Amino acid sequence: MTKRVEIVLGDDGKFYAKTIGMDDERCLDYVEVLEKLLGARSIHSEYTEEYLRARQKLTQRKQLQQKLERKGE
Amino acid sequence: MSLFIELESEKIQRFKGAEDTTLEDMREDELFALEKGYLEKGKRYYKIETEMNDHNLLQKALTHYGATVTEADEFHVVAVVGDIKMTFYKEESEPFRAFFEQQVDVVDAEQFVQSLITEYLDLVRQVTYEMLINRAQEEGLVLETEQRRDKKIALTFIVEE
Repeated sequence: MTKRVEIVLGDDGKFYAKTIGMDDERCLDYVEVLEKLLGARSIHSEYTEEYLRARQKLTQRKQLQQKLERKGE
Repeated sequence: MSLFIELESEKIQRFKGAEDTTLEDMREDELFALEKGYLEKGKRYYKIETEMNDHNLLQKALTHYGATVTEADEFHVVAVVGDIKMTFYKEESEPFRAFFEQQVDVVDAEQFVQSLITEYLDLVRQVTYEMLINRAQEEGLVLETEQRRDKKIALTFIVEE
């Protein structure tokens, strides 16, 4: 998936950004990058539901894999 | 997978506790500005808090609004519109406060400052847009799409691997 950054420059001195297609913690690096590029300070950041769902799936998959490995031993 | 980030321009600063400002605070600010020589002795002023903290953009906004800037440095800007003189003054880590002489109608002054802030925010967005477009490539971001709606600008960048 192509990695993208969406940025909205608002009309109230606030800016909103969203990283897309970044499947690891590297998306956090963009907080600093965006602060520098926009001459701004971050006031809030959160993972989107899409990210949290994907993380949950990944954790469940790992747990299942570990269970299967234990059974196989 | 994605991260949502909300940012605020460094050229904007919300006044902390502005709603709790007392008459004593106002007098203190006025005295401080008097000491600095930004206000004239013997005259009485009232102040209006603003969110603006960049003196260059404030000067531009004033000029766009038909005011003539007569004095300016990093911490104070004096401008004139017709026969009304206004003084903007700030301390190091605070936004500008606007001082008007007491004979100036408060409603008119508040409306003027509000319009000035709107103009200032337009300039902030414009300056930020230019800075972003000029420097995005250095951070490996290539502009893919740009959409303008009302006063908002939405940009999508592809991240170069």
